[in-house]
Amino acid sequence: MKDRVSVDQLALLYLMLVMGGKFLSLPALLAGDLGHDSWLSVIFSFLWDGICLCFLLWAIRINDKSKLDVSTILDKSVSKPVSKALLAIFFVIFVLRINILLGSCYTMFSVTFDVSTNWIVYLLPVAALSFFAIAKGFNAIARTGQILFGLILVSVVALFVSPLAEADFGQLLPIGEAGWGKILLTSYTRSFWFSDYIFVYFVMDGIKIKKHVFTPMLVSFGVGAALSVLLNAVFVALFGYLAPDFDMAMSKIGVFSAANTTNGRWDWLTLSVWLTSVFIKVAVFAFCAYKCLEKIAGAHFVRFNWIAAAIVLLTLTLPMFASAEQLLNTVIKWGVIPFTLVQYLLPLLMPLLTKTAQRRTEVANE
Amino acid sequence: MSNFKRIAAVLLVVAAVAVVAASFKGSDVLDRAIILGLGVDISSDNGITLTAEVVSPGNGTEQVGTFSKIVTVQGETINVAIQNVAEVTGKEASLGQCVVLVLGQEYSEKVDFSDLTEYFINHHSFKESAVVCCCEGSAEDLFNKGNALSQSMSLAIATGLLEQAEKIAVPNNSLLEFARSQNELFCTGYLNRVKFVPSENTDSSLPDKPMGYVSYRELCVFRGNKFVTLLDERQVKGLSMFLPEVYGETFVSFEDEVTRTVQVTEKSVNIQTDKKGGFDIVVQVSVRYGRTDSEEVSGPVTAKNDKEIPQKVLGDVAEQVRTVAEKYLASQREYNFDLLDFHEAYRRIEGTSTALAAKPMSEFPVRLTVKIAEG
Amino acid sequence: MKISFDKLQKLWRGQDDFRIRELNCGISLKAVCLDTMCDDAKVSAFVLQPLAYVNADAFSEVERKLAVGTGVRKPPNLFAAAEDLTNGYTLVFDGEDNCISVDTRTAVGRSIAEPPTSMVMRGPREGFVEDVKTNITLLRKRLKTPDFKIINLTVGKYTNTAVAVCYIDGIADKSVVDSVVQRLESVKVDGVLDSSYLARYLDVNRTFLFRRIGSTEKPDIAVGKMLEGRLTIVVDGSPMALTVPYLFVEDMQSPGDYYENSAMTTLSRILRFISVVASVLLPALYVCLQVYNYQIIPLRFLITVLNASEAIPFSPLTEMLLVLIVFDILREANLRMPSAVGISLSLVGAIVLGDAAVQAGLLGAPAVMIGALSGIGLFTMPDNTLILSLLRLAVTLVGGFMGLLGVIISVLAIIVYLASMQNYKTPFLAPFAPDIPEDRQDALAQVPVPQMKKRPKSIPNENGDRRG
Repeated sequence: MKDRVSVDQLALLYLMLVMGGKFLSLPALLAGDLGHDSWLSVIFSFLWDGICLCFLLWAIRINDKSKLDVSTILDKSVSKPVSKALLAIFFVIFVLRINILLGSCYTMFSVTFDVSTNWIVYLLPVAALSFFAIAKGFNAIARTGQILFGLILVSVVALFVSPLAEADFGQLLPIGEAGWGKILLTSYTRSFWFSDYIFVYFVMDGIKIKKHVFTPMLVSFGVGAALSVLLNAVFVALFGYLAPDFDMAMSKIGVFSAANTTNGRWDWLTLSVWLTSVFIKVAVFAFCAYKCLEKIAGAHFVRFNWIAAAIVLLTLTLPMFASAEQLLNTVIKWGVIPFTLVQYLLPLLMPLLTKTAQRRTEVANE
Repeated sequence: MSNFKRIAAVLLVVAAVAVVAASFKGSDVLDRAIILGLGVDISSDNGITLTAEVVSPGNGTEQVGTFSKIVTVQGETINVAIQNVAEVTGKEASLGQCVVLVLGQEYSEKVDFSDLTEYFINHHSFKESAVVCCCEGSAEDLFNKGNALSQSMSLAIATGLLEQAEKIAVPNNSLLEFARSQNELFCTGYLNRVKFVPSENTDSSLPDKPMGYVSYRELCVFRGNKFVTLLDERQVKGLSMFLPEVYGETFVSFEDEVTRTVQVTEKSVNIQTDKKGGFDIVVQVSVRYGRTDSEEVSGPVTAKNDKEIPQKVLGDVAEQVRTVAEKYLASQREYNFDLLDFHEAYRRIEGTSTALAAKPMSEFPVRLTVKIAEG
Repeated sequence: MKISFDKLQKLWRGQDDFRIRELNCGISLKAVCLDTMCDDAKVSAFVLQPLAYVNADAFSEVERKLAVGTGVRKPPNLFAAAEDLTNGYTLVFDGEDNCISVDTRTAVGRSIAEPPTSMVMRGPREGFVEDVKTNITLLRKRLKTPDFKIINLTVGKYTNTAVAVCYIDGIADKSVVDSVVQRLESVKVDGVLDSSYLARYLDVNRTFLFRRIGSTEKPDIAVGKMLEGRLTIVVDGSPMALTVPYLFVEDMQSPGDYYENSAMTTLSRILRFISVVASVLLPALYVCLQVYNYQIIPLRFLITVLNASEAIPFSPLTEMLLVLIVFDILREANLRMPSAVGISLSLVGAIVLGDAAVQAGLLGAPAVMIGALSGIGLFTMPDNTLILSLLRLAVTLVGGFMGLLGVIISVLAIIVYLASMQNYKTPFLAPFAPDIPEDRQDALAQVPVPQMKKRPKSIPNENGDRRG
């Protein structure tokens, strides 16, 4: 089965998803919101994430016997219409997140790497890669993650370590100057960037559990969270009051890595290695969006479904009409409540829903 | 049908390649005017005279020597001026390899150059790690003296400031550090002041060639991107006493009619706020006899020198350290600038407030303790 | 079983080497053989001599007399008899269409020599030859156990090529053996001229990029692979034995690796890996850094590049593609030239094309250097050199058009493609994706042989312990 994935692969992929994307434009946005307290908001967001992840893992543990997929669980426990509505919200989240990710990447390529082009020509190769990965199955994506994981982690750590000499961590003081209420509120309004575990819903039926579920996943959650908090802290410590101006955190953070300014921007090669994790994240989310369509349609796509792919592709042309910033502002205004529902409430209920679905399936089988 | 499909597929691939090739616009490196260093002067019509050192291939295959040329353009703003570089060179002006930004004396002392700092900080290609400094006289003159150095002026300034300055007790700044300091609570920062010092021609084969070197021992202090004062060598020495990353200051002591030179090899500086709204500063320096041979004279990882320094000399040096340091503190109070982050230290405790931001330097009493040891 | 002599004779009508010899040994006999395929001495020793001075009453007595030969059998039908005949057996018929075939095959072929494709500094120097029997002898010599099993098959409508699937019972996974045999039996093809024909059929995914079936010319390697649970497929007429399942890392392992110090092996394997990655990416990076990201290039190197390429009439992409294509042409020509000319050709190629092109200002020296470096690096993965060379061209093209974005996407696509492949229950990228920690003891890094206590898990096997 090409969508099967082991817990170890899932954990590595999760870590890569946490690292990919959060380091593009988010640090500058948070610094704009909260100044030098941005890293505190990241900590709070990860606290939420951690709790929800634990519940979700519990649900996976329960689901190990029956291997139900997410739509079956929702269908059986909360009725079909509600299930479809939830899947539709998921679809919107995935599509928006891909859009925001690709949007940041697009900016990054055009301003940092001087690769300027129009959205469509930029999107098509990325979409082709994602659909190729979908056609090859989630397992191929997970294995790709395994191959690249070490390199990506090393490059991220290298990018963090290089500016440490220049960073002035005293800038982070006094802690909580922005006000704790505001910090918490920001964690809520920027929650859209977090909860990367939502992809797990769509591979629930294919997770091979050997021994542990919690340990590997929580370890990668811990590492990912620590790196993200550290990045935000280093970012503010390095750029101080100027932080909100540096909208491409990753491309600027390594500027002091070369011992001599005449050594060239070798950090950008490291950055390119890290960028692979962004494209892996795009591929994973595209897979999830595709699966959402599959489950909403109530069909099981045996082969690669071109129509579903076309719908996903169509939604990714959105940034041609609205900039990533406009999208984000709209999302925060209108979408944050339904999004938090599936991002943060659904995982908490997942163990219960899985149990209910299991019971009802058993009853139906009898 | 199958032939038709095949032709269609080939056409599709060709079309895709053509579209992709046409839609991505790269600039070949040969079509770029790669700028190594920029000099900014004020022009007669209050605009900007921009001097750029541009890589100019074809001036010989040697890596060293004259591989660059100097281009001078005018413009109302820095943006316009850089565009004009493109016009003059016929190539796209590219700042990604720029290592130094020099502000001419008149420009740096008379103009509020906030827009300039902002322009370069927000520039996506310009490296924040590039060296920024000001110079004596005009930047244009300075760049045109590159010939006398037998190397690129930009590289000479950059390597001098980045690699040598800290070892000879001169603090230095990158663009980011300077920009950050201009946005802090008290908005003060410094830039090195570079000047060209002519020297005697020692090359008998080229008797007419001018020779010289670049000196950067003075600092200009800026507050909110505006010039405040110039620190001379002695004041810079005083400032460096408070900066642990800078070392190599030398002190001369006369004892029993023998002249002894000792050199600071290491120092630790502890700046603590006290209850009276002032500071307790403890400067601990390690010194040893100065040496001029190839052995690294200073730095944290050098071997110990077994020659003992007499207590009397140590006491004399401690007194000298105290004198230069206090002289610096006095000028800090006099001109009201804050290079030791006094305001920042209180901000870290109390948080940002307008009262703190407006507090003059004279209202921070300082108690200075100097400790000296042999090391 | 009756086999019609007349029908057989009709099948070979008009063939000059179809030889019939009539014998009278009490009953009238006909000995038939193909002159070109038989060894006259064997015909004489195993057929004619035993039957001389015999006065037999029945065919069974003839059979008894012929039993002196080692390979004697009764073909079950006409086709089997015809196959035996083509293989060099001598058929003996009586007047009532009784038939017996006697092995009189001639041993025409190369003698065992060191294979030119996999020379080793240390280790056995024997290589496979074209004869399947000799090859199996070479294997059997190293595997003196009844557990060494061989399944004989015949593939090819016209060539009737003998194919032997060899494995070690108790180590190799039975289901893999079954599926390989099944695949080979289902092959419908006119002829099999070399084992590489069958490699295409054995590849489950039908991949056009990358080799998915291992091949070796050395019996010691084949045995080593069988001891890890793989199957060796020996094809008559081919000195290349196939091994399945095959992993990507195997191409980075050289035959000599197991006879050297493990630390040195680890180092050289890592070097091979780095050089392959660099070979594929270096030209692309060089081009895209020139076209898009000059900031990444160290300043002094950038100045050198600028000075070198100032006068070049081509864009960096065209320049690099030219260098790569010229290199591929040189390699191809070198391969087809007689070896004596080949050496001078490579000299001419290097000096005339490289140096003269630089002197004439057609190509820049850095581009030529990078092209040559990348070309040489590819040979560290001998099985996939041509594929990698193709990929290198593709990545360079994409990198030249789309900059780092293109390079990143094409590298990811290649990895996804590699990661998705799976042959005979073995993921192609094992033991790295999926990660199998136990198997990494002999993947890129290698632990000393005494410490390899377990067979690799990535290859399906029935006994994971290397010691019994």
